[in-house]
Amino acid sequence: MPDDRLPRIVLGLALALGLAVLGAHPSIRAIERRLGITFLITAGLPFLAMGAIFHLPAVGILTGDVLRDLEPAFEFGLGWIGFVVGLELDVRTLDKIPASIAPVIAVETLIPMLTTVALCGLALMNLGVPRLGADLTRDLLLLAACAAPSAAISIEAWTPRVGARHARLLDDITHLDEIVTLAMLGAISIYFRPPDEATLWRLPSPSAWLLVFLGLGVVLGIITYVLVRNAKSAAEELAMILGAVALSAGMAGYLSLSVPVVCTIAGAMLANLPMRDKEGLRRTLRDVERPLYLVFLIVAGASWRPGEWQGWVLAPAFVLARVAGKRLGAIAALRLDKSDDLPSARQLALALAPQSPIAVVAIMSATTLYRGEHEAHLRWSLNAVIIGGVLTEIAVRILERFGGPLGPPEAREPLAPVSVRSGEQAS
Amino acid sequence: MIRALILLGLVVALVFAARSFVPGGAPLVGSGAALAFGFLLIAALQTGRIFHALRLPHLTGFLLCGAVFGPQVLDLITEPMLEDLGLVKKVAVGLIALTAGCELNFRALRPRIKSIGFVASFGMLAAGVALFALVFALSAVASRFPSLAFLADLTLRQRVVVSLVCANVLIALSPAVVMGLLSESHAAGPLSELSLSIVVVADLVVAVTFAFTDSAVRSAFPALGTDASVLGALAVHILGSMLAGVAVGAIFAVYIKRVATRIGLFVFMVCFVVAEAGTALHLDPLLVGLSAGLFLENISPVSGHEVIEHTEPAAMPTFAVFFSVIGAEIHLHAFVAIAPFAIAAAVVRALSLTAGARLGAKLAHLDPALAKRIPLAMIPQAGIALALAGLVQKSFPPWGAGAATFLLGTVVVNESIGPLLFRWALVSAGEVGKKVSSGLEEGPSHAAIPDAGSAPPTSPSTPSAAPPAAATPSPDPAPASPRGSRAGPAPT
Repeated sequence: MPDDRLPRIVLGLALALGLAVLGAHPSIRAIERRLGITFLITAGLPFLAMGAIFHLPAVGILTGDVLRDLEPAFEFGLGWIGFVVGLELDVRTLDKIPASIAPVIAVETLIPMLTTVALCGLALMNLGVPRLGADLTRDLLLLAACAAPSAAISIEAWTPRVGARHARLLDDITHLDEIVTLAMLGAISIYFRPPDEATLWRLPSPSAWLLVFLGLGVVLGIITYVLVRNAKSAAEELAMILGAVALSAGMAGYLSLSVPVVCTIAGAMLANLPMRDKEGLRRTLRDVERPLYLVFLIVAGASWRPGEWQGWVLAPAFVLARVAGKRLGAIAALRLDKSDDLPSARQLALALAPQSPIAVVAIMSATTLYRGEHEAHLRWSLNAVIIGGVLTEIAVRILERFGGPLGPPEAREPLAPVSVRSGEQAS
Repeated sequence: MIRALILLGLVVALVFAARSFVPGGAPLVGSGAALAFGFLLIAALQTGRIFHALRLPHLTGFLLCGAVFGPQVLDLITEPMLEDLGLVKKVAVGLIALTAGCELNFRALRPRIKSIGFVASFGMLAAGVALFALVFALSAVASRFPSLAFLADLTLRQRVVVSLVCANVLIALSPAVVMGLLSESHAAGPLSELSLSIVVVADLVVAVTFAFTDSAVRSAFPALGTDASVLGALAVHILGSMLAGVAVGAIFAVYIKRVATRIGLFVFMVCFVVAEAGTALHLDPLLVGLSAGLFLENISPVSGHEVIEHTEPAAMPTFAVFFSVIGAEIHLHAFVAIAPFAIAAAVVRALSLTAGARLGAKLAHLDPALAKRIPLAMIPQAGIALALAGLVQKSFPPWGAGAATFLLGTVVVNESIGPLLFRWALVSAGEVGKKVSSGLEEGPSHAAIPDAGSAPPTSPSTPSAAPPAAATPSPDPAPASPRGSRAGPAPT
């Protein structure tokens, strides 16, 4: 750490971490809910900008050394978010979700992924990425994975537009499509392994790595369960959770597996084993989730290279492919839907268009995993996802404003509340 | 205990398997510090449980766990991992010191100031004189023992100075061990209160006196040079750390008063920043944390106990990781080489500390039962002594490395025996389990579904724990949304 920059590094880190705590303040969330905007705009964008500014050589706060020091914390954060996502995958709760949601999620994620592969593929090839290389396939699959998830909606803002029942359904969709992203990320990290010359393990095929992946996730989930179950006090329980998340994240990172994916599998195991107060465990994990996201965004901002024009070229292609894909997906979903569970195609597309922060987590996780391998291409993708998140938000606002009214609330009253997030409470 | 053993075995097997992934243990991505942190935390907590079942302090289990899995024995935690865990250790030191500072209320301690002063000063003085005499005597026969080669071929003046430095390092006590034992045993009472005050005061004195011995060294060893003296640097380091601590305390006070949300997380993040910047700014996280805690408890309008309450859930992982890292840093090979002399120094230290502290207690008219037990709080050594030994090694090249081996060997003995003795003192004083804990300590939120008719699980450290709470009492609970929807990212 250069001595002449120390005061500013200290102040910068203190400012960033302090703001990360403040950015998660309930009043910020209340503003988001009231205005119906995503956290990428309210808190995310300032943090991304802060990360980018802190990384500038003239400012020199988030230097390479500082980023390296933050690496274990970053890995731990990825694991924490993986556990949060995994804990939502309680089969008993998922069973209560209307069956019509599954095809909606399938088309709503698959079509944007296909459009992203097509449009971004064209863009990347025109940017000089070799057409037949494995890198192009990997980067396109990564972008496709990032195109799938939608930001969680604000039920408060959407209920007047589509009615309470549809708002809850949209909420469930946005929570479940994160799984698609993480599953894709897992598949990518299995089939596009980092070079293994330096390792002692020579597994015969990607399917062997798939077994390692699943096996590790399951074993870590069971260990976490036993640790948490044996806790004798809340403090001990917190210590066990911290240890289990760090062990899971560290183990996955050590074996060059995708950290959030392994931790999601572990979290899913935990969610499906008998526990008296699962909601309390979720609350404990979620309590720190937003500050973690904000710290991630600072690190993502530091990895962002706004000066690389290729990222700016790729971003509109990504946004266009994603928004168009979501719209096409909405139309296809309505054609598949035989029930009256879904709102109109326009409402569905607008609700699902904003990009989930999990996309930033996925691309950041990939940049960590494939460090040193065509980093420039991955940085373009990172730029596209970061800029894409903001551009999508702007595009959605324009579409909402100039595309006519979104429709009055439904006259029908909602059915019994069933949510992926709070299924246990509802049941 | 059996469950803990099985879990420990399982986690060890997993990490052992993972470590076979790359030759030499260097991971492909990152440093493996997250793996090391998670492994050490879980392994230390399980070892702590096993030790608890054996009626031994958890803390000794944490230390042993680090020593066994560390680079000197099984090498599951490699040297690079340990280096990267240095930051975690500093954060832990900061948190421990902050909590210790927050526990010390000068107004409440005023009636005991005389006892604290007498016990600390007489104990340290007696130990200092005895240890000085021992090292000086050893220097007379040093040429006969290769492990004491650092004391051979010195002039009389140099022998005096080296003995002085060694004695100075060895009189250091351990606020971290005392805090750790008080925390794990939920102890409260006159012995607990007095012990903490004495070790904190004594360590401040050691830090100051070390700065003066340094200048003596430079005059006795002209080859070291005088302009590179660390006296000034140490003075700046001590004063700077204290000032930084006051500033940090003021920031906490403003945050608690104005924001009052996620206090635990904020405190942790500030400790992280202090640890990250402290290395380069030459700030001591212990002094920074201690000063911040003292400022909060004694000067600011905010009570230090508010910080303690919010950081209480982090106490267990903090102590577990800190002491297991300390254990992993133990130089077992060096200890084996110097064992007889190190044991002799530890015995002399313990006897002289006891004699001096008892004399001080008698002069201060302290309750005889308390006077008998208080020296046992002064036996443990850990963080400060290790840091000073490292400083000796770095600052005084001609003989520093040999002296550091001797000092570290002695610290190993005190580190192993000290916690056992202090815990015994707390148990015999009847102070274990007397601390009124917050709700966070009482009941497990996610424990097993109790069988019908079975008693609720009890805490290992509390005689009777409250029934399990219905939900996790989050340290800084955010208002739950009507559907419990996700607090983190995203509403549109």
